[in-house]
Amino acid sequence: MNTHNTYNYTVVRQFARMTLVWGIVGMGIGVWAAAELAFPSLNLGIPWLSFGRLSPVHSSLLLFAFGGNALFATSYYVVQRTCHTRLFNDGLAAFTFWGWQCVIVLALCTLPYGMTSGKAFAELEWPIDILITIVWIAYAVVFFGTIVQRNTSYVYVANWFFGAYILAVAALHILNSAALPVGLWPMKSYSLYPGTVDAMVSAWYSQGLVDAFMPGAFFGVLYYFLPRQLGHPVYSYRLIVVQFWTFVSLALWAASQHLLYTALPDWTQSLGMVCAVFLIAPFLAGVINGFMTVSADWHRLHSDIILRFLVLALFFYGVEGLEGVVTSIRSVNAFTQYTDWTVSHVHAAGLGWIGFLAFGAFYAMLPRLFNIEQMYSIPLILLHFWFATVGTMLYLLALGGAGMVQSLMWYAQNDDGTLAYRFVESLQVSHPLYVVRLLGGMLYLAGMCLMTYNAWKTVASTLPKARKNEDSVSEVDSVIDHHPAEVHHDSHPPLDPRHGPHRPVDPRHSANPHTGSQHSSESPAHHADH
Amino acid sequence: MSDFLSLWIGVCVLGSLFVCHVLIEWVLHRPDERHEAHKVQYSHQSWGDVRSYDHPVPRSWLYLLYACTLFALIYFSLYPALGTFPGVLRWTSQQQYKDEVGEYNLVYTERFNRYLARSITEIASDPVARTTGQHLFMSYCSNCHQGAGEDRTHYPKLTDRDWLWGGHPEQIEATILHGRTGIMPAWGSVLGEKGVEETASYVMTLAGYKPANPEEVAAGKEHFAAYCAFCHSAGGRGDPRQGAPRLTDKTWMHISSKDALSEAGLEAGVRAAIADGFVNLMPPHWNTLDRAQIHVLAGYVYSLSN
Ligand code: HEC
Ligand code: HEC
Repeated sequence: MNTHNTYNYTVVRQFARMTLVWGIVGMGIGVWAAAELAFPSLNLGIPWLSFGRLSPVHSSLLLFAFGGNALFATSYYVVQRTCHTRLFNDGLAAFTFWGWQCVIVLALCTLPYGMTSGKAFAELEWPIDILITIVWIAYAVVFFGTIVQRNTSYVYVANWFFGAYILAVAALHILNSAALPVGLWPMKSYSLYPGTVDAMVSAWYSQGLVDAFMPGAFFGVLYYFLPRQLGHPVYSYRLIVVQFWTFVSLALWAASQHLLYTALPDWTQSLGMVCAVFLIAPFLAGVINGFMTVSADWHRLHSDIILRFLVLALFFYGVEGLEGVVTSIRSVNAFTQYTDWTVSHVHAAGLGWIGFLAFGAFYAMLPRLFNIEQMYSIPLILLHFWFATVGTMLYLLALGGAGMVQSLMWYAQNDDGTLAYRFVESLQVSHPLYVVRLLGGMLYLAGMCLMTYNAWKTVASTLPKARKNEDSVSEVDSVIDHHPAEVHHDSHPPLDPRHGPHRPVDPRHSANPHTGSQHSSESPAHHADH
Repeated sequence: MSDFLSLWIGVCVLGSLFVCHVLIEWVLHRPDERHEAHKVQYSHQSWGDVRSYDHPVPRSWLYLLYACTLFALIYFSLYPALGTFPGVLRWTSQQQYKDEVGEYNLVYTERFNRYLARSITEIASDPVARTTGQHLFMSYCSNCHQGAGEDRTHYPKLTDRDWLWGGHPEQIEATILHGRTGIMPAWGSVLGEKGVEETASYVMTLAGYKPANPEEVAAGKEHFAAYCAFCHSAGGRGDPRQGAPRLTDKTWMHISSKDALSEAGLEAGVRAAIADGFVNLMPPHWNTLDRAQIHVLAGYVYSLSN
């Protein structure tokens, strides 16, 4: 087999590196912004350090630079591995990398100076929007091109989720960013949509991207890395099929649940609400499937930290999804909307689901990318796990609690029909909770730094070796990939006899890739032999 | 919305629900040839290092899906969702708002309106009414005035008898109802630096300080008569018709209580006041509160100093 058909890991490595870098920057800014909410004078009187400017920088960085880069990395990795083919067009793949980093740097150059289109999660101004569109189209070409030239007969489900994400984000981004440019420097444009319609389009975009398709794409990550880590398949293929189709057919229409009791026509609000309630079906399908997949292997959570990341991610997804369904109901929404509850909710998805999956996937993927047996330090992974878990829990409980208290206080009435609390009193009560949230955020950031350090050391330890055969890695790829040590023992050396070859053989597992030799039978080379 | 559009929405929504179900049923019951072909009991598909089992979809999930569908259908028939079809309940968010406001009014408005029949001084001496007044004050006024009586630069103290716009009950009510704009012109360019200093020295004597330089004070007195007495009245007694404060007492609105402690701090503050002037806004409340609430508030504010 020629080198053409082996994997392009270079671009995956690049994206993986930048995911870590931007993750730290974005979370750092998030922590600073959280600190400003608790201690406002931390804006130091500098305009670009004020909360209003930092907040979109934080959300853009974590969505596009952390989440976005992580998905680029994992989708490029997964699509090659499951299609048994090299990425379509290396040049274009490299372009997506440099183009995307360019978008992020431009975001950092404009948002802090107040150049913003003012639309949630789409603050970037029109020239950057155009660049995003171009890069995204290139991404679609690379991804779908790879699928087209696959060496397998079917497209593995993980790729469906990535594919849906790519297509949906293209539509969301282009339609939502439609604007009339009026200046290049400072960048300025006006939305093409009038008032209420603009609000609806903007909600459609942010729900589609932040609530639906970006978290959805991480199912692609889950459905690849979870079975890979466990060494046996996902529980039910059919469940994935129904999950996927119910998800893509509903997710884009639930946005008006965020605009209940607004100027939007009542019927639009109701329709969005029903779709949002309906989303419980795909969301539970995913959770059930994930947990059933792990169900035979609970004991492995003791020894396999990567598995822990993946399973906890699933748990947070469950929390987030249930919250989302319940709070989309009109009367419940009236209670939670416009409080810190919403912030807690999105961070269940951001810190919990997206973050944990990205961490788990990276710990599993990085050693393979760099042709090494395992991460530099397993204890550091464990420490990261606990930092991230405690940090996320603190964050969610503190802000969820703050949201509840705020809402209760705003609704409270005295006997004479007057309001019981001043607005500022609800802030005073929230203040300690904001401090706890800050702590949670700091822990999470610390975990992120640990991971980056760990990754750094991992790569550094391979450097002399890697330098020699950096170029040849792709050629020996099929060997690396099916290195026995990789399959199950990435993070837990076979100390536990249950994992070793002596494990009683479950009939379902008999043909399972439990050893390297079976794996190699599925290598691209082998496939080509057929 | 046209009937056509409405119909289109209805058909789209119900149609896609239906199609979704058909597809799901198809997926659930589709026999799997590959299954048979490979004679592998569990393995549906395999791609190198990952596979999927082909377990059936759990029953519980299916029931959940049916429940969702049932919920959707019931909701669509009860509430407005399918275009112009108003739903059996004829619910609208506007009507809900009106109903809730109506409910509130039924209970409380009448109670409030009873206060309108009573004079402000009566309200001020009624502890129940005062408590209600305090609640209202906390919600609507404390952003600016803080808890009544707390000291805050640029905002008048409401607990003393020193009034900008007059302390009669009717004057207080008028202040709350229509708002006030206190305007003190900037005199820096008219008087020049020296003129400002001289006038400030004179104002200091009004407030009871011994003059350091009698000549300066005499010049300041002339300036005052020429430029200031028009509003602040001769001798700085103040004029409630213009909201011009009395300058002969020791309460200052625009000078922080810390600065006002020392003579030097006070003089600097007075100079700045004269040179730069102020525009100070007390917003009107006729458009945000109803008359009865304002009446009760006036009673509460009046009670603070009487
Ligand atoms: C936006 C801030 C703000 C709010 C809200 C506000 N006030 Fe005022 N209020 C002021 C300012 C500033 C002044 C001084 C106006 C001036 O300088 O002439 C003032 C003056 C007054 C005065 C006249 C004081 C005097 O010495 O004559 C009264 C009485 C008063 N406010 C009562 C209220 C009440 C009652 C409410 C709540 C319904 C309220 N205010 C809400 C800012 C506010
Ligand atoms: C057009 C009417 C007008 C004229 C003329 C005027 N003032 Fe005033 N002055 C006011 C008003 C009204 C205020 C209160 C401002 C407010 O409501 O915030 C005020 C406030 C002040 C204060 C601050 C009082 C405090 O409690 O902090 C000082 C000092 C003062 N004036 C001095 C002068 C002097 C000295 C002159 C003449 C050079 C002068 N004013 C001319 C209307 C006037």
